[in-house]
Amino acid sequence: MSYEDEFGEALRRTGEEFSTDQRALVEGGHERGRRMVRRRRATVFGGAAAVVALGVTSAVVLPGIGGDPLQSASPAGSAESAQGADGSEKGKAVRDGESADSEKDTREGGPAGGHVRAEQLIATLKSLMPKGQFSEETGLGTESGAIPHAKVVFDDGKGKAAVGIGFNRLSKAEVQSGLVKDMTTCPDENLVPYDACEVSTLSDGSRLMTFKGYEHSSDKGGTKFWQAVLASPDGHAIDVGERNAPAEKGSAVTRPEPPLSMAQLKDILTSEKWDAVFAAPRVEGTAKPGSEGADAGKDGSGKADPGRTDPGKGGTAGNDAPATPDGQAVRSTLLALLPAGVKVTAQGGDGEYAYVVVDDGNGASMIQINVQPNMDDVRGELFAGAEELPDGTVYSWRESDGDKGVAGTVMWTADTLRPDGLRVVVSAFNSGTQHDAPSRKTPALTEEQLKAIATSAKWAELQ
Amino acid sequence: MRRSGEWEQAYLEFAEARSRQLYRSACLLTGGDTHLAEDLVQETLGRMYLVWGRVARIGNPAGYAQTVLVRSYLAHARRRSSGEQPSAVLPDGPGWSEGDTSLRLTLLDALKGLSAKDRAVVVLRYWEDRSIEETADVMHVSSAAVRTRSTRALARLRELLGGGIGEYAGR
Repeated sequence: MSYEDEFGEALRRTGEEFSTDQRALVEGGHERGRRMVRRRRATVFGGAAAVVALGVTSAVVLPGIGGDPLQSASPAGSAESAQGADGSEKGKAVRDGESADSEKDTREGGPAGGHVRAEQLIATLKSLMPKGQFSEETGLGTESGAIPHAKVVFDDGKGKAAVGIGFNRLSKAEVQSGLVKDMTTCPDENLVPYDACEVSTLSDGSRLMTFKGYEHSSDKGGTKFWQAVLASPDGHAIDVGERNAPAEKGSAVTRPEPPLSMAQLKDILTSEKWDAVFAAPRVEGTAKPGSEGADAGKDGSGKADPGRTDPGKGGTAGNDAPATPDGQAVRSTLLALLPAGVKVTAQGGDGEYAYVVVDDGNGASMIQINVQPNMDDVRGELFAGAEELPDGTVYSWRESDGDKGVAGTVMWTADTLRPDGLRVVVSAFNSGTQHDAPSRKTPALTEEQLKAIATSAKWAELQ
Repeated sequence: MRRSGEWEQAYLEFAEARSRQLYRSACLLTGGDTHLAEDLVQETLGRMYLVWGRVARIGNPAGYAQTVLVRSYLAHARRRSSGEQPSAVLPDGPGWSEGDTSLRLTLLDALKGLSAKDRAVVVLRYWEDRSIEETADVMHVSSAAVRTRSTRALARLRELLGGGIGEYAGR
């Protein structure tokens, strides 16, 4: 036996002697995970301080579950569609080209009962930035019930760059849990490589973190992501972020560095012009699917979302709004969207998941669907290079062998992610269940039919 | 496609299944500091929770978790401004089980004589059976650096342990 082998054996024997209370480990780890999710959600732009990037796989960790306005920066006219299901103006998102010219309205709270509309947020952001060309202006106002934010593509003549700002009112429980400090603490450099990160405390006790890092990468390289986060002791948090590219994904780097210096980012954050945002009335229960705050019960199990420790009491704008699609509604909508001529032989599901088994006369075929709000964080991972539909939805088609290891299984999947973060993914099998042998050669529905189901406007109405 | 409702349960099952191995790895990485080991494992499980939905789809979450653990340990070691503080007295506590005390003490003592990175290389290579390349990937260093560290660490261990290791291994 070589020395290496002897040592390896001795190491194994030693390691195997250790034991501990595994349950306590799991519970402790679980709680930490929940805290991390909560912390990451707290900043609209992904929360650099909480982002963990590992090199095991590419893009393992994506911006906050709450969604990343920069990431979802989309072509003109395809911004968030947070318009109320009833067609009202409530929660209306601003799109490029719409009026965004009233800076003073921001300070005065605007005409909407103290609310700060998206176009006002955009105007204020622009007023605090250097001169340049602005395009792709989008945002969400305080009346939406989601986390208010504004984003623009800015060009000072040296290349287009995405710039965005977001506002978050932390709940009392979140403040007590140390979230203010957590979200303004520099990340572990071994886990999140960055070029610079500083934390300072302002005269009013607020903490400011400035961060120069990279987008989604475990190594330094690619699109740069610079961010400043300001959080007050009472839980008012603002974060502003910028990239040296017009969008987080799918656009090349346009300049060596993002356009604004850390001092400029700080000036933007500390402007009194934003006071009206935090003074705006809180909106209860109006968040729309995919909006940043509307992430309760995301797991569809009826339990609170992993990041929520205080369901129903969260003071963060929009956090009180349930966004989980109702299980029965998902199923009945799926049934309504099935093509004519197929017979439904079984159905089930709960939460955001539903399935039906259909038979067109050639054998059973299971169709399943997940309707998931707030899935912007998988945009890069699942939809890189995916086809973009005219309304800004990205569409991906996959043909696979199924994921249960049954020989001969064919699984077709139409996967869609809307600009507001609502993911609708429909899969069809050539069998009645995922565990049975195939009952037919291909699923009963075609790609076009599955795509039509996934992209139906009806899913947005469920919330 | 996994039903979303099963997500949390799947994570907990994973954590329960992997916590023992992670803890043992952590104990070796820390040279027997069971309190630090527990902390690192909880940090690792927390980070796994954060990325669970994606890792589960990507595959091999167990290997991923081991990588997170090692990096968390290296990050911890780096944060310690005082650097490694080899201790003559090994920590004792609930982390110990009855067993081959002499081997454990001897080996852990020797491990504590290594730098954090060398120890990580040793644990990855000889406890987790990772290849040179895999070890390099986990540690964000080159394969050549891993070879160098590995050779150096083994030589150092041989020096510290003397020729007695074979007695333990051969039992």
